[in-house]
Amino acid sequence: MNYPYTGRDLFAEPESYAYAKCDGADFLNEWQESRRDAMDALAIRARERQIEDRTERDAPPVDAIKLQSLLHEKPICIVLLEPWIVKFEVFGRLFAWYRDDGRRHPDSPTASLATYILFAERLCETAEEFGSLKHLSILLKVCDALASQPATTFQVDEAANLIALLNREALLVANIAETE
Amino acid sequence: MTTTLDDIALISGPSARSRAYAQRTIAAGILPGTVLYQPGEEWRWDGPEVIDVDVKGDGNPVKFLPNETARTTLARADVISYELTTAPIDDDANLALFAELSAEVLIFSGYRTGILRKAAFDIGKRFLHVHGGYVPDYRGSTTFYYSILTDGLMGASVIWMDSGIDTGPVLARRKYPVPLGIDIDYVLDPLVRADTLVNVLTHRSQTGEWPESEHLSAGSGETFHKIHPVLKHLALRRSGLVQSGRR
Repeated sequence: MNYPYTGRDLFAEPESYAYAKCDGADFLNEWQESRRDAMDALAIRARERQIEDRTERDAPPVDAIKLQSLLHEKPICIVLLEPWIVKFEVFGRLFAWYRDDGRRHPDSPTASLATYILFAERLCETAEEFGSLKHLSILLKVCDALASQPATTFQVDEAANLIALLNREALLVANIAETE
Repeated sequence: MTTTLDDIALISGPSARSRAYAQRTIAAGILPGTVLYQPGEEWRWDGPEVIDVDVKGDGNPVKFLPNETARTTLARADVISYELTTAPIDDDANLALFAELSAEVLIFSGYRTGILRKAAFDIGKRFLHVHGGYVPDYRGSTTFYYSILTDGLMGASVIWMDSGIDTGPVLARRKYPVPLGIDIDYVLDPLVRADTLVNVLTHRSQTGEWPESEHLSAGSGETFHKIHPVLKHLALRRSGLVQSGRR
């Protein structure tokens, strides 16, 4: 049996993870193989030439807060990360722009892959710094969704960033597995 | 000797948790005055018919019969019962029925037991819930698995429900060891919750009072979300329920 949580576009059709069947002896290996396959495809993409200029793509209206800008703040505060965690857990997706009351801006597109990668990087930093399983769990879900996208949908730099992120994710999981 | 707590009603579903509550409270000599059955098909366990579990790690295992329904257990004790026509606890029809009961406290044990809407708190009853985690450290969903990975322990907390997620006043909370090789979702989780509940009901039975409740800050601790299958797998491995796969 193959790892079952990247077989469809999880941003379009979010995964609930309800009653997850994960008691097979090879489940962890299947997850690792699935991630290696994703990284192999991303590595091919990362070697290609940049083909798109995205500078204007995410320009928000004046009354919108850009999620990507919030996530760029460093160091990210756990409390500030929490609302986006809750939104991702409840709805399985994020949007590019929000209003100052925390609701999505009515004109907002869904978050870009770059924003999801940034969100995952913030989760990863929190898991690494505080040993937080809560943040690692959500990181794994965001990475499932990212790995469910064809490698060709990522920009060259995004593909490289995602490979680095998946390596960090693997290390976090390995640290827990090794403590058994 | 068995004591019937007439001011308590048990909301029972076709679940392992309801079975554990029914079996363990009766084993402790305590009965709810009333039982309210949620609709739904009874769940079926494919494992052993009788399981001995050392829940507290004190060398005194308790017996659990996963396939004995709460209906069967409570019918033997002649507990007064009502059938709910719909599962959600805070459905208008259910709230109307609860309001008419003489019971002042309703214990959750069924399903569809998430956050209650405000109307549920306006009927003059209190709702008791046993959360499967030691609050405030482990609020939210699937906290057993998180605490197994972090502390090697499980926990349970008896809470007066309020409008938040596991944020109400706490009557009792307790940590438990994790015996190896025992199913977590359908055996350990229900039994651990039942044990903490029985502690509270025993206090109520013996003293006539509820334990003094602790008000823990809603902002303290951590609220977890449904655990990712990779972490759940590692928790199952640590609990002796899964062997390590090929390397």
